[in-house]
Amino acid sequence: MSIKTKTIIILIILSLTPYIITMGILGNAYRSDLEARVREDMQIQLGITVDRLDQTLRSLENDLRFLSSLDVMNDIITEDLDQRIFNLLLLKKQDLDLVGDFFVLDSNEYVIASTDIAALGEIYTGERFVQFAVFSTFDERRIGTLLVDYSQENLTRLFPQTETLNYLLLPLQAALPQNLQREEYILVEKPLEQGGQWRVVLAQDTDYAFSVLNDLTRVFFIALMIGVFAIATVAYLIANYIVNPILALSTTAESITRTQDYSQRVVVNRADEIGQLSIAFNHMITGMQDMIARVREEGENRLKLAQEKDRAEMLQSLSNKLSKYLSPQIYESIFSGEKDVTLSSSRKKLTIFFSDIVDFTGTTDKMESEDLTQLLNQYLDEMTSIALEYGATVDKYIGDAIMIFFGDPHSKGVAEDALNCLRMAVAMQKRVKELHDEWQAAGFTKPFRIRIGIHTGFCTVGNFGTENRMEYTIIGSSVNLASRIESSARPDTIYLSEDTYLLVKKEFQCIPVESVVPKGLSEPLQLYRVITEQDEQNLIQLDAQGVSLMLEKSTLTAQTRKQLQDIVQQLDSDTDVS
Amino acid sequence: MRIFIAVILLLSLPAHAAEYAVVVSSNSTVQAMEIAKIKDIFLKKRSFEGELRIVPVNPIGNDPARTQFESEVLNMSREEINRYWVNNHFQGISPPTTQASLQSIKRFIETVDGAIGYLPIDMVDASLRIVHEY
Repeated sequence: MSIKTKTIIILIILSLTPYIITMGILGNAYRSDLEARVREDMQIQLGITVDRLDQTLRSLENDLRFLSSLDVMNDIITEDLDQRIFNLLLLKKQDLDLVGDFFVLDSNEYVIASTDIAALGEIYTGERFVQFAVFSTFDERRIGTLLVDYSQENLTRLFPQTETLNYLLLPLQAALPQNLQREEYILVEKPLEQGGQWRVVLAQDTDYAFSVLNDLTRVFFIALMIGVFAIATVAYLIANYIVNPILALSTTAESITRTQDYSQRVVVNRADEIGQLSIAFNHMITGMQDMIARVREEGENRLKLAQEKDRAEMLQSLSNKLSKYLSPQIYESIFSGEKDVTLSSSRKKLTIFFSDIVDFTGTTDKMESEDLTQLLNQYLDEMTSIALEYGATVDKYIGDAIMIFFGDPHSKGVAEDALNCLRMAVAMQKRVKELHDEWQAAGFTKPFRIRIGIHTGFCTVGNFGTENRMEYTIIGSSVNLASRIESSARPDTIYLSEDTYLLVKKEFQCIPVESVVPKGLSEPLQLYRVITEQDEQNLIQLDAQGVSLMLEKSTLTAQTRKQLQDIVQQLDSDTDVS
Repeated sequence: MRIFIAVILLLSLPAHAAEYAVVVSSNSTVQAMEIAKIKDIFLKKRSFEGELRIVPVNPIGNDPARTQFESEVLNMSREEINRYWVNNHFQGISPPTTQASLQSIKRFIETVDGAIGYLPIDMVDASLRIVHEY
């Protein structure tokens, strides 16, 4: 049940309670009291009437008594020959306006005189309402009877003629008429003192007796109905006055919940508690709207951040993927903003490194492709790690070959760059040697062997290609020379150009090896081989007067060994001869 | 009607010395009576004749029999008589009973024991006995 309905019901009940109590009092207490008063008034009225009837009857008796005592009653003896008694009775009847007749009987009950002529000479058998014995005036002996056949009309005509009060003259023992034995009548009765066993009943219709009360009750009822209507109307208006703002609050809250439109407000047109509630509601909605705007803004910001984060992560992922294709230095330079990704180049003196796997094709032909890629990836990964460790810029992978340069984008000086390149190359050779054991343990019967060529010279470095596809690389004759040096190198060795040798010779022991003639040059270039720790055990070098010798034991064939032994034996023979 | 005619006839008769008679019932024990006794009886000074209670009866009004009786027997005027009965009324003595007609008086005398009245002589028959004439 809604508050509105409850409010209406409560207001109606509260307002109707006095009416209902009043109606109850009128209907019960007042009715009982009024009935008692009416009954009391009726008793008084009845008493007056009965007194009047008694007085009438008493007067009648007195009249009869007087008549019976008159001297003329002696005419009974002479059978009222002179009709003196008749005349007397007739006068009395007329005087009393009697309904009924007087009768004078002799001692034998014969009618001597009467106002009823027809009864004369007959024995009287009628009613004897009042009768008196008649005694002679001269000897006091009874000579007859004077009686009256008294109609009730003589009494009932004395009843007050009212439309609302019903008088009845009934014998004492007679029952009430059937129509009066209902509850619609208030009945009071009183016996007559005169005239024998008679009683007078006074009946009054309750509708009339309570007409004032009924009229009042009717007026109250009409007032009640009008009151109910007025109260219901007022209650409805009050309920609306109270509940409508609450309903407006509810409706607005529901609408806000449904539409999520927090710009809606409740109309506040009152300053009471409900108005304050509405104001508080509006403030709350305003607060929620602001909060939601902030949350939305924060959400949008977070979304942007998330999107940016996703994009950043994507870019990071892409860049990570790109980093695999770019040198970390190039990558960092580009992604740190140090270099623009534009078609631009510069000329620098760099140390260029080339390496490849000796007899890669022959080695890999017999391998499964999965093993090949695993070996190659491991190799390139290991080499690239070493290169990055020494600050190299990995230019590209060309099949099994690796192109690396030092001096761009970061340079520690040409000499230091060359030294780092040599250190890297030595480390690579050392690592490849170590990998030999692992690969052989893994079942690869022909492990990789690499050769390295290094040259230091001027190159053009930068982004080359088109706006859509660029490649950060170096170009120039130095690059070609470095590649040529590498291809000239022997397996497991590091060959340097003289330009590089001059930069690193203080730290690295090198020996001059064969010369090469680069394309476009007419004169051969002297190449140097770096002596590594492995080489120190493997190489036998002798530079003295009349001899310059370097032996690489691991590569000596049996024939070469025989030739060397022959040379030694010949030298021995020459010594003995001399 | 017959009674009325009889009365008219009686009244039309010429007066003579003894027109009226004081009568009693023929069954009565009362015999001839002197005028003084009759007067006492009608003035209610005397109620008994021997053991018999005497009941005097008068005709009403100015009946000639009564007028004649009052003047000749009672020897009193109407005023004297009225004064007499007024005085006696306060002593509880009331005048004799009356009858409206002579016929009624005759019936009364015939019916009531000890009754005594007066009638014209010609009305007296065997049922009555004359105790005095006037």
